[in-house]
Amino acid sequence: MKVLFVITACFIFGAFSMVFFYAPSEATQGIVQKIFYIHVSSAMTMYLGFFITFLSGLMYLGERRLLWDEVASSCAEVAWVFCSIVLLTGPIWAKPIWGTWWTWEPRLTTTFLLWLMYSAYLFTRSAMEDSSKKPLVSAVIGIVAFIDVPLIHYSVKLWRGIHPSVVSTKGGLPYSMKLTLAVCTIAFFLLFFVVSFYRFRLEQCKNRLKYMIEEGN
Amino acid sequence: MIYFVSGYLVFLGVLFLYLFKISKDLGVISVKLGELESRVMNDH
Repeated sequence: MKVLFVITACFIFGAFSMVFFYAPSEATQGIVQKIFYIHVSSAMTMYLGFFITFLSGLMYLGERRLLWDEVASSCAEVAWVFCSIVLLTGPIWAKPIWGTWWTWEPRLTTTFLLWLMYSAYLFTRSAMEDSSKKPLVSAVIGIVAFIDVPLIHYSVKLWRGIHPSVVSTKGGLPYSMKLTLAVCTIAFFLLFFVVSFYRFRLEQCKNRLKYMIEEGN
Repeated sequence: MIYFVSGYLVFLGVLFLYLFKISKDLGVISVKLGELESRVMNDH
């Protein structure tokens, strides 16, 4: 784990160095466009986290092992943090470019909806802290909420919003920007795994403590 | 420039707050777990 921690730290340092010193400023937007690297990388990490939550939810429904609930809840919480970063950095970038902090545009609205659904997931878990049905209920919410992820991804094409489509097969970014984005995304993925691992250990400790208290009674 | 700096500060701020929250929770739970384990060991 220590090795992964060091690799993650190196990648984050490298990614931020590339953003500040290697990636060029965009011709029309200027330096503010560099928010793009944290905004898009956080969005990718959020997708990854919610996808693991979705898979772990399915595994829990299939096997009913507490381990899958611990994995799902840890990843959901960390992915929710990345989703919050997406929703906070987006408006900071939108204000100087679109002239408004927020607009009820399809991609923004569906992303906000996703944030609300996983907020409900986390609230439900904390409200059902002592219930034996907590893993089952949260697995179902985690799976149902994931339906919104493909909607976010295809919302730009489906409803013709003003939000740009970043990942496309045609044209797009120059090589230096693509490389910086790739390094940032890898760094964020690694950061996600490190933080999720610690969150997973926390969840395991919580369950162990609960089990010991129940045994004591 | 102010938007660019704000974007990065928000990112670092949110991440720092979250890491602080988990490390605090992990610390509290580890202490409780340690206390319980030592109590169980003493009982036996």
